[in-house]
Amino acid sequence: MNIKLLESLCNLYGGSGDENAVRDFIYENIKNHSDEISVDNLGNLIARKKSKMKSNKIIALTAHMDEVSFIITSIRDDGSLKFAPVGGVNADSVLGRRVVVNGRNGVIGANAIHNMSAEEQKAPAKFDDFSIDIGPLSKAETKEIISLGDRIYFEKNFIEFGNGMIASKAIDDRFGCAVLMSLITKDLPFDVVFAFLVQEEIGCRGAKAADLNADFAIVIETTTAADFDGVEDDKKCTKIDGGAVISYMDRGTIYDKNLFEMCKKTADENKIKWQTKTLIAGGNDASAISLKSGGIRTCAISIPCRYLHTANCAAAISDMEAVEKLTEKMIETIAYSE
Amino acid sequence: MDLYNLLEKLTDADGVSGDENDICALITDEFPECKTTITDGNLVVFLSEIDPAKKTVLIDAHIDRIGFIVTQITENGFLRVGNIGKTDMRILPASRVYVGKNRYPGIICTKPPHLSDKDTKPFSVSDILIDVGMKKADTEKIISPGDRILLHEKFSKLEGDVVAASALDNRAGAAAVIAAGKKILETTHEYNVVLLFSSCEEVTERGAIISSFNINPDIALVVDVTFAKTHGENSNCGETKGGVMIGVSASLDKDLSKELITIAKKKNIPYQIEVMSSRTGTNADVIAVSRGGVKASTLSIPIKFMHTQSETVSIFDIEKTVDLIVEFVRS
Repeated sequence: MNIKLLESLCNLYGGSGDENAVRDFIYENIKNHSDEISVDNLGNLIARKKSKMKSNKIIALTAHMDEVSFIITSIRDDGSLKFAPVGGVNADSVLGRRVVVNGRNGVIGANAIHNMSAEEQKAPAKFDDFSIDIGPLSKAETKEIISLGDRIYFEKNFIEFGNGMIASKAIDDRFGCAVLMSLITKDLPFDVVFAFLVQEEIGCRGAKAADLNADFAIVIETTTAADFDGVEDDKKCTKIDGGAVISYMDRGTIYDKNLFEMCKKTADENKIKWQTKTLIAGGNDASAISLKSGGIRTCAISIPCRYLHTANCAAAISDMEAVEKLTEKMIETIAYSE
Repeated sequence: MDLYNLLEKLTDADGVSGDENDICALITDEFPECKTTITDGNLVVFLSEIDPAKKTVLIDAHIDRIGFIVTQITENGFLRVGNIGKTDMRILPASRVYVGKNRYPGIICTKPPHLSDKDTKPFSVSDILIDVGMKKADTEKIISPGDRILLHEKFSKLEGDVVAASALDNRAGAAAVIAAGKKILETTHEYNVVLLFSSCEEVTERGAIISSFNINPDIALVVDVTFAKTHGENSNCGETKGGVMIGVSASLDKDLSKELITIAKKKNIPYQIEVMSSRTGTNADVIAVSRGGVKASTLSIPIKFMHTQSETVSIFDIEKTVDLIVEFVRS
């Protein structure tokens, strides 16, 4: 795993519908490795790479470029900003976070807890009670530099910690982008479409639009890990350092059974650690991709990731390496089985 | 002096209550020409020799910060913790923390949607589990029960002269006292002036109790932070950029508060009045009743989002606090 590349990707700001910075970075870095590269009307970046071997079929590798973010919905009378999440962010994991608004620093804040009644303190967190504070500006001054609809991001915060762990705001799914960027530099035994998709976090919209024209697809993603104390084994979903997560079913997709079996076998044959989810949860672009073009046979290979959709998603480098290697081997497996 | 740089240096330092020695050393370096003592996390700076014929003014700012303390390493290598001070528990899920003197990064665990109740309630301290990204055996090699945990985000500038930082409670007050102390060194006045950078305000006010006995002052100015108004608040909070807040309370010396207001008016120092009905929730509560009593008042700096990792303060309000301290000593 190229950690430097992952760091660069994670530190970019690119929410759903606002992926330009990520797309530009990827485009610049892969254009010399692509036989054909284009950006569609929705913003998906599609690069095609021909194999030296003759292949009658095409395999698509996909990752999404967008991260969870926020959008400004109104400016209050005191100049503070009201905002809403873009993607599935929980209101209970945003307070006190540093954010970036149009390149300016801000803080997600609320009333001082000391001044709230016991009842108010117990109430569940609501975005409407929070505000983004960028400084002591009046409403009129704020309006000069902020427009409704401006996007807000968790401030870049990539770190390595513990034993081979990484934490960042945007591992979901810049990790997938990093895998695709690494594989496009290699000689692959199959014609491959590398699809960097937009708007996954608001309903897999990039995947719905993308013209993949492929026979197979592998979705590279992040998936929930709740492997901490007090969580029963069957509720952990996946485990950090447990290897690549091969999906059989989630809330969006029942995966191609043959590809699922092929994926497990490929992992075993190559001594790559793998696991499956212990419950049916989550969903990803596979839900849209598997329905495209009269049906694309789709599998998903993910890293287990703790604290998804927060400012500190955490994942292990060992799992990243397992996913990268398994993806490469799966391309070979599919190529030689056709 | 450059308050931005000073504040950045102070807010970056650790010093969760009971672990103030490093921040004491850092502040000592600001006063190379003065006699100083460090006892039990309390730094005392004597701006001049004590002349028994003169009255002694104590200027206090606590230097400890809120955080957590490691109580246990779990089977899976995570940390269980206890509270030090009253962190705003609403900020905990997925917050980044730093453990021990070497600042090993950690993340406060939060349950994914498939495990959380629909009506998520704020955390209590027993819910906190800290992920340091290691298995138990590795965690135990570098982390021990008793290690302090910082809730920490970097110092950053917002619009105007506002900065966001962790531990502005009460490093903003400490910055004001340091800056005022340096100006007082260049001023002629009639007092013995002693600066106290006190420990453990957030837990027991222990540092102020012990040190004010030792210093035995006649007058005390307690410099701390208070609430600045945020979007939903109409209560008696201060305004960011409204100037220094002068405390008026049944537990504070009435004449001293009045005198501070008079000086502020006379010297055109922007000020706000902070009315507290009885105790102030600052070191003034304990200093005032030390050794036969001390005439005490509070000077407070309004900050937003108190006891989160992202408190905000206006440099203007710190400057005005410095001005009022200096003018008071001169008067």
